Amino acid sequence: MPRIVPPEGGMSLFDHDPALFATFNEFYGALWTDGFVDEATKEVGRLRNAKIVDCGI
Amino acid sequence: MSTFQDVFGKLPAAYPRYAELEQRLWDGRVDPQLLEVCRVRIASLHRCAAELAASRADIGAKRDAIAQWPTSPLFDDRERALLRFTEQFVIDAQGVSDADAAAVTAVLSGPEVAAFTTAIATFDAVNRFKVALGIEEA
Repeated sequence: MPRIVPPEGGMSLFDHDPALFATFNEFYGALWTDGFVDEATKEVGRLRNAKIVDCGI
Repeated sequence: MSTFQDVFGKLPAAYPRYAELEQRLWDGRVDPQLLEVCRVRIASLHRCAAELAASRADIGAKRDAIAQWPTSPLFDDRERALLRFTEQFVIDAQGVSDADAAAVTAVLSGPEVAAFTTAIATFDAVNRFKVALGIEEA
């Protein structure tokens, strides 16, 4: 259950600061597309991390 | 000796975007001194020499007393709430309790919580990056 209420009209915590979230998303997107490791391999790592942390998202 | 920029800079698209995120996190969205006490605590938990050597805001004697935050009179209740959340976040995010989160939302606004949570997640990731790759310089 979320522990913080989104702002009015928003859907998530990050809607409290759209500019920050946009910056984060640009960084996160670049991590996927930049470098020599293919995205499938990165996805395996991401899924393993999610499993260890037990993050449903 | 490789610096963080030497290593992370090998990703020419990602590194500048990380730098922009980092700049936004320290631009006053959350009191930089609050961020700094949490950043230093994260660095001490990871025993990251590079991050412990860095200084992003003046927190005076709190820097050397960071491990005593639960009981030291140097820290106020707001800092303890943020440090409690930060410490549990680093050790085991699943262990962050409703009470831990409520203590943070009681002292920070919605936008501040968004920035604070993003900041400690970023600090934690950078510490792990530097420790895992043996980066000893900021």
